[in-house]
Amino acid sequence: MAIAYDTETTGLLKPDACEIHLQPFMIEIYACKFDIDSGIISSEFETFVKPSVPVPEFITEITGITNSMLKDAPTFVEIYDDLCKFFLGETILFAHNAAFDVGIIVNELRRYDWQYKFPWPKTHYCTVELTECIKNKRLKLDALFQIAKDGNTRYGQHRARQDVIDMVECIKWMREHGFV
Amino acid sequence: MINLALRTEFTFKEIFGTVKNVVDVGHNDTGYIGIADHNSTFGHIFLEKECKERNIKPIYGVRLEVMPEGAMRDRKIHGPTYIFIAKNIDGFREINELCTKAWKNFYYKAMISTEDMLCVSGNVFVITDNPSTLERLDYLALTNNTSYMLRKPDHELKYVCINNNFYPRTDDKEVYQLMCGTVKRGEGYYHKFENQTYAQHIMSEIEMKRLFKNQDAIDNTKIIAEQCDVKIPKATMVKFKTPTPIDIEALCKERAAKKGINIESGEYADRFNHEIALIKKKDFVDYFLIVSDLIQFAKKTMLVGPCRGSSAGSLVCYILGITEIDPIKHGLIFERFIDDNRNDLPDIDIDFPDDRRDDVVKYIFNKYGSQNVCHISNINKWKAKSAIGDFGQALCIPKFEVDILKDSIVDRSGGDARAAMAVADTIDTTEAGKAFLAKYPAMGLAKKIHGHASHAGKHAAGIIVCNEPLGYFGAVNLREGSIQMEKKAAEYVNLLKIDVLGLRTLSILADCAAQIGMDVKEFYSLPLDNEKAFKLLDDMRISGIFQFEGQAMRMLCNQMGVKNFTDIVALTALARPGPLHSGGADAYIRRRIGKDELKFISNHPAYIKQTEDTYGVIIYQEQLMTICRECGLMSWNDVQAIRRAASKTMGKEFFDKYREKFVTGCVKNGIEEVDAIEIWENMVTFG
Repeated sequence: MAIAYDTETTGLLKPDACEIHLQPFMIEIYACKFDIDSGIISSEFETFVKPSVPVPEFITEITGITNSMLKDAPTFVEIYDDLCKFFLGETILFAHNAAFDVGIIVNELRRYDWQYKFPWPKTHYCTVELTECIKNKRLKLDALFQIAKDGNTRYGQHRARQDVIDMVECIKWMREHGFV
Repeated sequence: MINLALRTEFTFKEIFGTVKNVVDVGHNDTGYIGIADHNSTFGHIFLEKECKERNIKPIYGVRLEVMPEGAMRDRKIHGPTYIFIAKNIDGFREINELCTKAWKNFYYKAMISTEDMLCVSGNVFVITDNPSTLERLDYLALTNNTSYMLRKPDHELKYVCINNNFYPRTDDKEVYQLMCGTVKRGEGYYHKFENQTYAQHIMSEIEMKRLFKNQDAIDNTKIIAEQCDVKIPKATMVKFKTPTPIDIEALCKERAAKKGINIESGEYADRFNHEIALIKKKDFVDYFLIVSDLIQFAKKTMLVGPCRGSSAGSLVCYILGITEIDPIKHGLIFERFIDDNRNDLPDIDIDFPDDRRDDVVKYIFNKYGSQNVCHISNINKWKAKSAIGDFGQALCIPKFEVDILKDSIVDRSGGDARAAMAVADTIDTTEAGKAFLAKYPAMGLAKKIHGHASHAGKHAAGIIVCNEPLGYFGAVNLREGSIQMEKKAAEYVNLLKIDVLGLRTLSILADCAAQIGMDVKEFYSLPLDNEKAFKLLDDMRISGIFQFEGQAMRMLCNQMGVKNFTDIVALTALARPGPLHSGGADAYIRRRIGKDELKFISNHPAYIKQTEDTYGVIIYQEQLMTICRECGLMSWNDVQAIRRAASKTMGKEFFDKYREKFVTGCVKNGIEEVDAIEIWENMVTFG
């Protein structure tokens, strides 16, 4: 079993040296446990997260997540225990552009000085880095999905859940073709 | 493990780490180190220098993107990056050629075609981690990005470990991320740094072994390194292109006769024989012929500056028509120009009208062939202001706050011992800096970027001429027409540099002459005692007059007034930071206008002889040199070092090394110690 997850945020990662309050906030997270070979998802974890800053307009344009949708969402502190429980015991982690998604969680943890407490899986796989050799560039999930699905385009882009489900499909294909 | 192809600062704004830094971390006490930058050979000469110091063997390489022939005009397609490592001197030329080709094919990025790659000879190792074809490949690379090795195509190729480093040490990550900078996209700024899950620093052998569990790949680095043996060639002295050989002495005699100078006897003969002997000894004859020829060509059609800089001190230059100043009449020293102890080429700066400069450049290109002539590059480095500005932006600090810090930058001149610490001094010692650092501790990282290469450009004036094709020494960026080599690097491989400067004033003068129907040649023979001209300067009507427009010049000119030609000479010498700050300018002016009495620090005849024309104040470099020589009894060697220090404003520490020598020399010569020290202090502040 492995974990795959994706986050939606209020922006892109700033350099590590930037002050923590300038770093982007998580607004949505979806994680699932799946079987690498069959691609069958066995359990899910999905929630909105209430950020400390309002969601910028361009993020709403990309993801469709508005401030009103996050109004009653739990904060990161409130979901932290459940998130830990979900990650605990797993050894493999997948993410599309893992450096970013890992960085987002690390930043959230840094805000509370918890960065060494999180039960990170030992091995991180980044589906971007793994597939860089196909076209000598970092592939967007859409492009990777097209390659994996023989030209089929995908729908419902840029929401954490749909992205992870599509990514799991890609991982299944990558597994068949020896990328993982 | 030997690092065969590390990346350095010369992959501009993508990789952090100066060559020195990278060599320090990367050589692992193996006795070998190699660098290979993306589309750039800037680092090669720096690497050779660093390796010489540490007595290790350099390996030269370059990274290039290889594109299928048909896809070179398609922006969406990306090719794999190949590493080319030179085995021997032929291989070195070949990788330079490949890099040149990559710039020739530039279309949104530099690249070579697959065919070019397949044609690479056996003198070059071809290595990549993601081959598009297995043909002509020597080794497959195992790099930081482990994912490439997971694919196992059918092949019998050997593996080799290569570090695709982004920065040398793990703790450089923060600086690296800030260095990469930002681009404006929409309303926000987008950071350009690359964030990877794999290691981005220079991995050690143990780390590589843990990652790949492949001892062969590590051993192969040694096999490759042992086969590489390249010493960067030095250029031979340029030969002047002429159908019949020219004897410089005969040419000088012929030209001297035309000018009405007698170089057969007397003072002129002594000077001429001394100069020509030194020029011949140093093998500079062709250099003089080349420059002379160039100026002869230019003088036919345009107004050429009479002279600039140290070349004015040479009688040979005057006779050959390179300069228009008689050094003996004006008391200028030849040693300032060429000196027995210096091995570098002399520097003749020539001014041309800025609108005609291209004609001169074209003439050089046509005469010596476009393969042998090239512009020189310059490497722009982060200085205090740019480092603080760029880091402030990368750290998302409001601009007005950064501007406050920028205003309090501790400015240091290039040669100062603490020049490299300008950022550190600004942040650590100034009030604004301390307050800033307390609020934004991350700004302390800006100290690390000072002096790191930021980008390269074309040098404004420098052109190099060479017997061999320039591709022998470095890659040529045909887009800009400049060789990937900095001024100092070009000097290091003995490439001849000619400075062709464009000067707006000359264009204006030429235009004026054309309007009043005057021949431009008449400018050279204008009398130096024209009362009207002095009156013009005296009345402060100096706007638009070359070298008289600056704030300092206006002030001095106003205080002193201009009565004769010597005043003009003195003013241009006084309006420099040295005399202005040391109070020398003030003393000179007070004595000149009669407010203070004339007085000499020492009554020694040698000192009086040197400074009586300048009211006992040292204002010219010539004076500084002769005083060191005649009062301080110093060798030309030391005098040269001091002069260089003075013209490059090296700071007090540098001068202090020579203080003792000077003072003991003076005492031996009969100058009192107190006076000697005072003279010395005067000369130091002069710099």
